[in-house]
Amino acid sequence: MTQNQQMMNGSITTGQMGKLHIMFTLGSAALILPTMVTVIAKQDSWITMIMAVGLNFMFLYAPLELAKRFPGQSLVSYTQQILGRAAGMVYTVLYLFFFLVLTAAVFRNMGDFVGTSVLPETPRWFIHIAFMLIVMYGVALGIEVMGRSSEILFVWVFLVFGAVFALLTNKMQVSNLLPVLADGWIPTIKGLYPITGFPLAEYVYVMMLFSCVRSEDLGKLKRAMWMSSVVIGISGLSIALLLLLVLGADLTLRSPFAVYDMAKEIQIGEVLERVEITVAMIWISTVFTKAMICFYVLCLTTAQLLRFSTYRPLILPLAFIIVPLSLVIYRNTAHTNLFAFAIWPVFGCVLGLLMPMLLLAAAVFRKQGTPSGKGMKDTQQPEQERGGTSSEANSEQRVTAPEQRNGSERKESMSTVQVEKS
Amino acid sequence: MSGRKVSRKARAVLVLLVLTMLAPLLAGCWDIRFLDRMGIVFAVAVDDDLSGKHKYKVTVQVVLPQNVTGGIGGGQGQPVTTFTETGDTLFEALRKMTAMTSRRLYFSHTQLLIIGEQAARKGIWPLLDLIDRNPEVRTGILLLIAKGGRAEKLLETTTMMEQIPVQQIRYAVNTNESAWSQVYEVTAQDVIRDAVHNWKQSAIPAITLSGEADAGNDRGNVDKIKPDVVPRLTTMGILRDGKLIGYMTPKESRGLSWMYGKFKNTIVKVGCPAADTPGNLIVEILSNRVRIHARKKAGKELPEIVIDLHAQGSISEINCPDVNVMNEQTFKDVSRLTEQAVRQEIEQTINKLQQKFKSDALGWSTVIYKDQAKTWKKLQDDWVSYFPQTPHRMEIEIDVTGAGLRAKSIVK
Amino acid sequence: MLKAAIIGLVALVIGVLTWKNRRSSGRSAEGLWSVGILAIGAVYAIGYSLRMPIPNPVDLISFVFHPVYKPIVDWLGIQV
Repeated sequence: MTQNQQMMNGSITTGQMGKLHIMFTLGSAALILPTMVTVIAKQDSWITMIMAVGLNFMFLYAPLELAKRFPGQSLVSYTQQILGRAAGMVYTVLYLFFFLVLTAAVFRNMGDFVGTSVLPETPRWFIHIAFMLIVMYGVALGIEVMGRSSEILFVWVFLVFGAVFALLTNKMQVSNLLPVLADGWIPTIKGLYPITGFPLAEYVYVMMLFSCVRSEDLGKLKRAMWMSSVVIGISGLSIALLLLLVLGADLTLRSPFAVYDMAKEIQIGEVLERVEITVAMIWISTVFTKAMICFYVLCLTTAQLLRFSTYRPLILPLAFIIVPLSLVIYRNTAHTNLFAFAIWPVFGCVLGLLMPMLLLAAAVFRKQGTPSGKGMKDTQQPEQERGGTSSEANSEQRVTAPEQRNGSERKESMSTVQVEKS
Repeated sequence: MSGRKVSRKARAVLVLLVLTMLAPLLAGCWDIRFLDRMGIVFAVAVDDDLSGKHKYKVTVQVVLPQNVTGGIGGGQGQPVTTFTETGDTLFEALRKMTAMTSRRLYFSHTQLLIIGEQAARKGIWPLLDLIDRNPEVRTGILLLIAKGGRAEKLLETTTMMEQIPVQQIRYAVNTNESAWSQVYEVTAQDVIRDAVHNWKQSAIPAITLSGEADAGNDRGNVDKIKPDVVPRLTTMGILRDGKLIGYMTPKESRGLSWMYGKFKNTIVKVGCPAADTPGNLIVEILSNRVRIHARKKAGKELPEIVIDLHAQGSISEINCPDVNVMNEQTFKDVSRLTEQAVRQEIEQTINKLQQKFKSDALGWSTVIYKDQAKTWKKLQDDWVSYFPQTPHRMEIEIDVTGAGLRAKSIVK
Repeated sequence: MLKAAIIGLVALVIGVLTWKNRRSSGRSAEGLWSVGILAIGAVYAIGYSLRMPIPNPVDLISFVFHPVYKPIVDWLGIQV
């Protein structure tokens, strides 16, 4: 285990990382994004979804390259290594801000959905606090539990999604897709704009989570992320297609939670109807995973920045900021649209695409880290510490900044890895 | 190591806290509803307010679960009751009803919205906004127009075949659509979909009371073998810009069903194949498939609508002498006759909508948009004046293949 | 007022527990940071419960990216 992983209480496999990533992306985006894209691209939104698959790879490129160069290290430590301590800290604080807003926004999305569609009379603060309690519990249990729970939820998500797909076949109308490209390609390209912010720019969270991936699995990481991008692409495409086939563009773009409205259409005779709440449950489970990851990443970034031995003491204090923040972050639904639709993509692309790319360029230029994956075994050692041998040290181990490492630890941990490998 | 103990305790407290907070969630938080504290609304009727003080007079039909029983006869009293209130909007009137209802009205199971003719002529879009916006009401509720009368009367009429009057009406629409198809089901969502662009216009089935309209209010109506009054479906009402402008005749109404391929089966009445013979022959249509396309016509601004209709049927009743179903030619003749009859029905429908109502309830705008998006852009802004001139061509092919169980008819 | 008092009380209890926990494991700096962040959060939450105007980071983002997103939205031709 690397230093980071001790602090985070465990590590996850690349498979779990991939599934977490899928849940992260489908959470909230699956319910809200199709509406945004359909508003711009109308009945061609499915073409936009196909185009978006390529963008997936683009947004993951820099984080993956950085993870290869700095195995087992997170955003906080490698930025300080590349840019120097002060600049690195400023850089990290920006991401802290990003994750803070992101976590609050995810909470707000969930609250808006539950508050308008399922529990309209329940005060929002109660929904947010109740949700926060579960999220805090999940975060406190650590990344391993989150990874495993995502594996369980993943199966359910795709089972229910498959069932919805099958049950809606009698309501599909292929003519809803016509006319294809009536206004040319421009609207479909314009439709990519909201996608870049939500969920693509949010992918930057992986810069923290990649450090949790088991070191011996790191070689497979790229493949797992590519695979999950393909799964995300296919799911996104099928959700967009399903919405168009069942509801049509006109009704999709009028519905803020289109997938939920679509599930209301399920009606097999008079036997099977009113099952949309299962879709709501599945959606809440994905958005729960997403909220958990976001909050976890927020706690972790703060903890590493402030050199905590564990992120846990930060859970409650940060929850105290997130809950009121999520309640005030959007003034009303028009403000939600303006921010999520128009502003977030710009802000997101700066932090989620531009800055990681620049960081990578700086790393290449200053020859920091290992340029190829081959040296991985050697480079992850600096992060290893003698504490790895002590089970008790799990949550009490102190984070070491890169410059605090010394050679003796390096050698010792090298042997540990070799033992693990054999 | 005391720190670890505290954190373990803190964890236990946290878990307990989570569990206590979860318990009320199971009941639905502030949205808690007890089944016996809900008044389940099955139907809503909207009329214009005759007193003129408010815009609408709204009536709801609420189920009384204690009076709904299985078996014949039912429990004590009527299975449903109605409440009536006035208001300037639908929601205002519904909320004002709490002055009379002991229970909170619950709209998740509402199946029917009946709109009085006068209210429909003033426009139905204002009524649909609530249905579209509110998460409790389903957009799949059926719409009906109370032709020539008040919608509230329909909810106040006891019915014989179904214990709950709304069910009688709802199932009647369903049965009629699948077996005769003078009317077909139109949901609030269908009308909302049409209203988004207001290219295609909506048609809504109409219903009326046949008999003495005031006699239906009590059990006396259904205690007779022949009830004094029954709800009876009529034809499709045609809307323009969300306002009722008129009704189709029964034949035209069915032509509309033909165009949308609504029915499972229906019957077509044709004359006898031999010329100058009185009598009729009934062909039952068993399956049909309709495809409507827009085809660009060279040198013309307007595209041509091509209606491609294939159906299969069988002869189900012969009231003509000398019809020999052992002869293949008979089937060919009957097929041609059926095609003519159907063509005539559809032709009448198109003619009425194009010339009299000038309302695109046929959905040709959508057809042109889907097939000829570029042409549509030119027509879009002035579709109202283009629609009546849009040419059409029908390609109808009906195969009559069977003749029931017997060959020769006993009719001489 | 009651809400604010409850929030304050809960925050106080959490703060004391965190501080004790951190100090007993010899990490007073962590305790200080945690309690500091908690204090910010508590002030934020109390401010919200008293319906006071509290700062919203979204406004800052909107302000900073104002010159960038406006033309993009115009180009997209959408109503937001």
